[in-house]
Amino acid sequence: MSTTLQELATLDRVIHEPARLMIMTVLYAVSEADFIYLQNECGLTQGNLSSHLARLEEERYVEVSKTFKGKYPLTICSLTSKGRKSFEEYARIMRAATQGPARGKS
Amino acid sequence: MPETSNAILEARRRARDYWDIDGLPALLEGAITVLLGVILLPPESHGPWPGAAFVLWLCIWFFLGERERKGALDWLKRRITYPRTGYVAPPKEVQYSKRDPYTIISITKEPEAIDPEEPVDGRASRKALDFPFFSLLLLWWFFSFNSWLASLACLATALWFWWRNRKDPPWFEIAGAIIAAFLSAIVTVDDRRRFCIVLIVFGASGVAKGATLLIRYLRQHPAPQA
Repeated sequence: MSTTLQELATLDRVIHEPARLMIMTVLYAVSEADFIYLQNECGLTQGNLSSHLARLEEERYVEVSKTFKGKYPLTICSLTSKGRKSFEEYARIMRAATQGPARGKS
Repeated sequence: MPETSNAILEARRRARDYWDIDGLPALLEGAITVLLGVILLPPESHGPWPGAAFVLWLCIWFFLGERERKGALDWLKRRITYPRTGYVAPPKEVQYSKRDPYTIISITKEPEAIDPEEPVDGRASRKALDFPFFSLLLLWWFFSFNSWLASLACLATALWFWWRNRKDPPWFEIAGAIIAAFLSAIVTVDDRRRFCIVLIVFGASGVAKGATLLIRYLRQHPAPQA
């Protein structure tokens, strides 16, 4: 078995879950976003997003802080440096596994 | 890893577009430009343009500078946008991190490439009013343009707007430039007054664009229930 193939086994399962991967991708792309924005972007329900954010927060990949912009309460989410590194590592492994002559022969 | 890169870039593009989706930046910048044009409009009574007007312009630039404009925009977005569709950090190119000479006209500096892999497309540079335009206004200020020269300059600006953003032309700005060209040709006023009229027309096109986007946004996203 090649090293690249074996590396797939080391993929971060917390990030690998599709909903969490979406959240991580959005948060990797922007410096911070609030709950409503993430909900709209990822197309998740409130409960679903909450539970996935809680999981990411538990892993210390995401930092969630509650603040106010004027009278409007905001739940601001951002990636921690650990989250950013983990996402980059996840992306590196996926890139190594999927790049190259990927066109299937039918 | 093109797939993941594309997902990240798409998220960045959407976040960047989200900043303009409510029309508030265009509305605010347009209003400021109109205000500048009105303030600079020389009084009917005397011939030469008062040099104080230029100083006043600089003062307004200073007082309505990046921090204040960002503050005003944030104030509006807090009341209109964030409760409806959420908050995301503003894109780098509108964070007013540097004071550029042409931010006086608009938040229109050329957006930096957000990723080395990202292809430069029309959307990345769709901000229409920019450094050449601002330079043109400065030239106009110091070397008064007659009606035909002014008209030609406005038409050239319209063409420039279209040429730079052929994929997604900024129609409001182009229309503004064409209207300004038409007015420059037919209105019989002195050169400095013509300058102000052009500035007002450009500002009005920004206001029209912003108002249109804002109305569309408010229709699509009604106020959230308390």
